[in-house]
Parts: sequence; C-alpha cells; structure tokens
Amino acid sequence: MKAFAVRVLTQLAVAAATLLFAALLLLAIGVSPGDAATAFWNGTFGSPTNAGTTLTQAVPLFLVALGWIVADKAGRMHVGFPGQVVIGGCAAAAVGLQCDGVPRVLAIVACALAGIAGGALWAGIVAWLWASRGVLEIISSLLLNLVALQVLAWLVRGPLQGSLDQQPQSANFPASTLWPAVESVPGRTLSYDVILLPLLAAALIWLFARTVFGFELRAAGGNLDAARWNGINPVRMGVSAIVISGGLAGLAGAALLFAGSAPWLSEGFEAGIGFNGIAVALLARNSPIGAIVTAIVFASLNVGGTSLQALLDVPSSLTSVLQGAVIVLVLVAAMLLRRRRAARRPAAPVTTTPSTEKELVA
Amino acid sequence: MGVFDIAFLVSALTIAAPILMAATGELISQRAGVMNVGLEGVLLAGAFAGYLTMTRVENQALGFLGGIAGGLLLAALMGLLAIEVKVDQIVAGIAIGVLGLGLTTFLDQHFVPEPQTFKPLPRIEIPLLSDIPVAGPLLFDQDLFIWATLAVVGLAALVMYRTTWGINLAATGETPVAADAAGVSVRGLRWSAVLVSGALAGAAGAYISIGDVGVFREDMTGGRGYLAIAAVLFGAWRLRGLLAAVAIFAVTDAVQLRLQSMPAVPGEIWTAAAIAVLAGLIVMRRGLVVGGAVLIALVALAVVHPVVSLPASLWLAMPYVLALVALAAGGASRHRAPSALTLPYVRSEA
Repeated sequence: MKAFAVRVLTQLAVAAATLLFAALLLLAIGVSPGDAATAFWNGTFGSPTNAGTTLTQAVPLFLVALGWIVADKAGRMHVGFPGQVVIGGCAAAAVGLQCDGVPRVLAIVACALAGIAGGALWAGIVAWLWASRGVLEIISSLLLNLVALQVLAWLVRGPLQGSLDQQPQSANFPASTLWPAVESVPGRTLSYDVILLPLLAAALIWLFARTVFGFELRAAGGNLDAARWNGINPVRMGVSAIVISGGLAGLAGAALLFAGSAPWLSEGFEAGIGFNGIAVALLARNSPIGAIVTAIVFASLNVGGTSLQALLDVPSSLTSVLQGAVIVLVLVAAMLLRRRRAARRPAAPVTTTPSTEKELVA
Repeated sequence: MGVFDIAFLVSALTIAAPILMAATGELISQRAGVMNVGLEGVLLAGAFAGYLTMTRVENQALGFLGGIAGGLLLAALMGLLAIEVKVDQIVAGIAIGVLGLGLTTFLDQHFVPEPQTFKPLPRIEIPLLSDIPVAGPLLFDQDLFIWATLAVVGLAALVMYRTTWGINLAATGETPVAADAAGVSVRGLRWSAVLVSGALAGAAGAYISIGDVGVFREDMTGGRGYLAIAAVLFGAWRLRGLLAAVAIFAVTDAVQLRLQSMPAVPGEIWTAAAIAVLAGLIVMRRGLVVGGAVLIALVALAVVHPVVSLPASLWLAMPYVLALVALAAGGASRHRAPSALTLPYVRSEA
C-alpha cells in the first residue's frame, strides 16, 4: 500500500514538473500560463464534443502503449510503432475502401483485422531479423519506420489515390466501415472504441497474471537462464511479443482512420502516435490501468495543443517538447526511487538489468 | 555516360560526409559502451542550432560552432541520463530523439517564423589539382566540411587504435571493471566519448542545414541519424567497416536521387548492383545460395534490360531497405559488439 502511494506521488511529481516546464516555455514565448490553462481546459474537456474528441484520441495512444508493454515485458525493446501504425492503417484502408455495401458489422471487423494483420506483418520483419539474423530490434524497427512512411507516400499517390482533386490521399471510406459513435454527444466525436480502454487493459492484466503464455512472456524478459531451465524458448517468446505488439499498433492505425475525424488515408495520419504511445507506457510505468490515464493525458495534450495554437498562437510542437520532457522526467524519477530504496537496504546490491541481447547470442 | 558520372560521385560524397561524421562520433561513443539511439535528435539539434546562429549573426564559422554547441547540449543530456542517472540507454535514446525533434520544431516555429535561406558552404577549388580529370572535381573542388570529415575520420583512426586513450576507450566498452581496476576513469572516458559524439553530430547536423542546403526544415535530417547507427552496427564497431557501410548507403542514396528523375531504370544500374553483390559475396563468403540467386537475377536483368520504373517514394526508401539487408547479411558480426554496450557501470565499493 505504501509502495503504491509512493508510486502515485512520484507520478504526480512528474506531472507537476512537466507543468512547470510547460509554464516556463509559455512564459519564454510570451504567453500567460493562466490564459493557456483556460484555453487548454476548454479545448480538451470544456464541452462534451471536445471531451469526446480527447477520449477517442486516447484509444490509439493506449493501443500503442499496450504494444510497448507487451514487448517490454518480454525484454524486447523495439520502437517500430510508427511504422506498424502506418502499415496497419494502410492495410485497413485498403480493405475498407473495398467494403462498400458490405454489412456494417462485417466491414468493421474486416478493417480492424486488416489493421492488426498489417501491423503484425510489419513487426514480423523486425522479429524475423532479430531472431534469425541477430539484428538489434531497435535499429531495424527505426529503419522500417522510415520505409513505412515511404510506402504510405507511394500508396496515397498511386494505388490508393482516390480524391477527386488529385490530392495525395485516398477516397473517403464508405459509411459502412466507419466505427460507430455515441449519438448523444454533439458532433458525434465520442467513438464507441473507447470501450477498448478498460477491456484491453483487463485482458492484458489477465494475460500476464493468469495465463501460461503471459508467464512465459514475462519469464523470457526476466532471467534468461531460469526461463531456459523451465523449458521456455526466449527467442520464440520474443518473436511472439514483437508480433503481438505490432498487431496492437496496427489496430491503432485502423482506429486512427475509422474512428477519427478524417475518414480517408493521408500522409500525416499517424501524427506521432507511435512514439507518443511509448511515452504513454513509460509514464504509466508499464501498468495497463495506468496507461488508460496517461493515454488520456497525452490525448488531451494533443487536442489542447491544437486549441492553444488556434487561440493563442502557441506552436503546436509544444506538445512534442512536453512529451520528450515527460520521458526524461519519468526516467529520472524512477531511478531516484530505486536509489532511495537501495540506500535504505544497504545489504541488497543495486541491480541493473543487463541487456538480454548478449546473453541470447552467447 | 548516363547515371554514373562525376556529378553523381560528387553528390554521393556530399551525402556521405555528414553521415560519416555522425557515425564516427557514434562509433567512439559505442566503443565506450554508450549507445545513443537518439542520434537523429542530436543531428537535428545541431542543424537547428547552426541555422539559428546564422539567422542572428550570419557567419558560417559561428553557425557551425552553434551547431556543435547544440549537439553538445543534447549529448550532455544523454550523458547525464546514461552515465550519471544510469537509466536504460535505449529508453534514454528514445527520449533524446523525441526531444530533439520536438524542441527544434518548437523553437523554429517560435524564433524563426519566416524561413530564411543562406548560401551553402563555398567550394574551395585547389588550383592545378582540380584540373585532373575525374579526381579533380571530385576531390579538389569540395567544400571545407568534406575535408573536415576526412580529417576527423583520420584522426579518429589514429586516436582509437594508436593512443592510450583509444585503448582505454575500448577497454571501457569491453570490461569497465578491469578498466576501472587499472586506474582508468570509466566515468570520465564515457563522458568524453559521449561529448565528442555530440560535437561531431552537431557539426554534421549544421552541415545538413546551413552547409549543404542553407535552410532548416522540420525533421530535415530525414533518418540520417538512423543510417549512421546502422553503419556502426554493420561495420561491426570498426572504422573500416563503418566506412564501407557509409559508402554503400551514400551511393544508394545518390543513385535513387538520380533515378527519381529518370523515366526508367537504365541497364547499367543492374550491372552495378550485380558487381556490388558479387563483391559482397566474395568478402563475406557466406549466404552463397541467396546471394547467388540475386546475382543471377541481376545479371539477367542487365542482359534483358526491361523497361522498369519505380515511383519516387519507393526509391526514397532504398537506402533504408539496403541498410536493413546489409544488417541482415552481416548478422554474425554482432558478436564483435563491445561487451558492455548499453550497460551502465555501477562501481561496487565493497
């Protein structure tokens, strides 16, 4: 219980430090933090319409965060989420554009599955390169992100180009593929996919705590020798983890397209979700429940950043600065906590997690 | 003569220089055991800081110094996280990457709302030598940065393999405990390696913005930082391998730039690719089945010479795809990674 309190306090301290940093940045460019706070609140939760937008935008971030959590628990730190979101989105869009006249339930399921498959496939390349060619997953995933962006640029100019004025974007998705939204919210900004937040968080907790597969994933990310002695194949678990995380990111791509405000495929649709999702997971310290909260916080940063730009002419990239700052602060806070704990128990040595990479090779 | 003329070689050299400069810095840092995955962010910081300096004083020397300062700043943050706070280096690198992109975009929008363009670095024509055919325009009619890159690489080779500092650096990356026991300051060496890498990446970034095109755009480094890291990995943490990798990436990039403007792929590309694959097979002496099949396919393409064209964006992806293929082909070289790479050094006082 005390540990939980300390954790919550740390998160609050990180949030406070980030807010302070934001206020300083705003002062530096000559915007009153008070005005900014009002504009921010109105833009994010001030009206049901805006609150709906914020919650809906939290879903893709949350999905990517879950992807990071799954991969990280298995000890695989890949950063291919932007690419997997893009390819998942492309696959979903390709299917969705063909779904005109298909019954709605079927069309929605088909698009979601296509998104998952696309993301998992793209992550599969990372997994294969790591497992059979020994390529560090972090670098292959970074390179694949860049390739994915070019694939998207090609698709919206070539095979999937469909706008009438020759813009680099696809035609509008058929109405039957769009994910349903809550009717009572003005503007219908609240998509029903927000139920994925509690559902998937619960599913993931159950997976890790109650299933053999979840246990083996965690074991592969922990002590490798212990895992092997238990007959667990760490390479296979690593590959599964990477592919699952890619599937989650691909679903995020589909959610961005079919539950977003712009029902067509365009070049910038990923909008930094891939990297921000990592920050969401880090801020939640890899807790699926915590990720719900932090995903909403990050979504409100995005939505609020837009309204700050519209009302007070604050550059919208303020959001990405804050997101970077959050990661740094979380890292430092986590490390300070660990040190304090280590100082209190001088008998226990400070354990650093060795990179599992080398042990796998050895 | 089609694709491979002197202008092509010059453009390959211009593309290679900043990647090589940044990759050399990353190599030094990784040999000390610190992997900065956020190199892209450091490059951007250098690019923006150099550009910002130019908009204020309009002096290229000061601009480059500004770029170096910008790179040092982010590298110092990386050092702080990796060496002092001892957080996971990969996650710290992600933070540096996100922060570099965010900060440069934010500051650019605020401080330089109207983009400004400057003259790129002047080319220095060396009399007589620049009149030599092929080698003249290639080597003796270049801007100062190309020369600086060559000097840095030469110096790095000397320092890394011929000085006590360089040996200590390798020891720090291999077995920091032994290095520490021998009286080498692991912390000091890692800090200096990280800062050197930051300065080099800052200079490389400044070249990308004010040295080469003379302007700064959001995210303008376009993955060069990732290519530099890939070059270090593919080069198996040796300077020679790194040079080969950067050469491959730069030539591919130059080829794709050239081919974008061509209606169809000229036959000499297939020939050149076939020669490259053959050379790769001879050097590696592995993967003969796959490599041989690719080789036969390329030779067939060179002979048949079909009219093929690829959309521009797929050409743009070529260097990254090639980097991936190179990493996959050189898989076994990972055994030569510094043993303590990404491991924070915790000195046990017991």
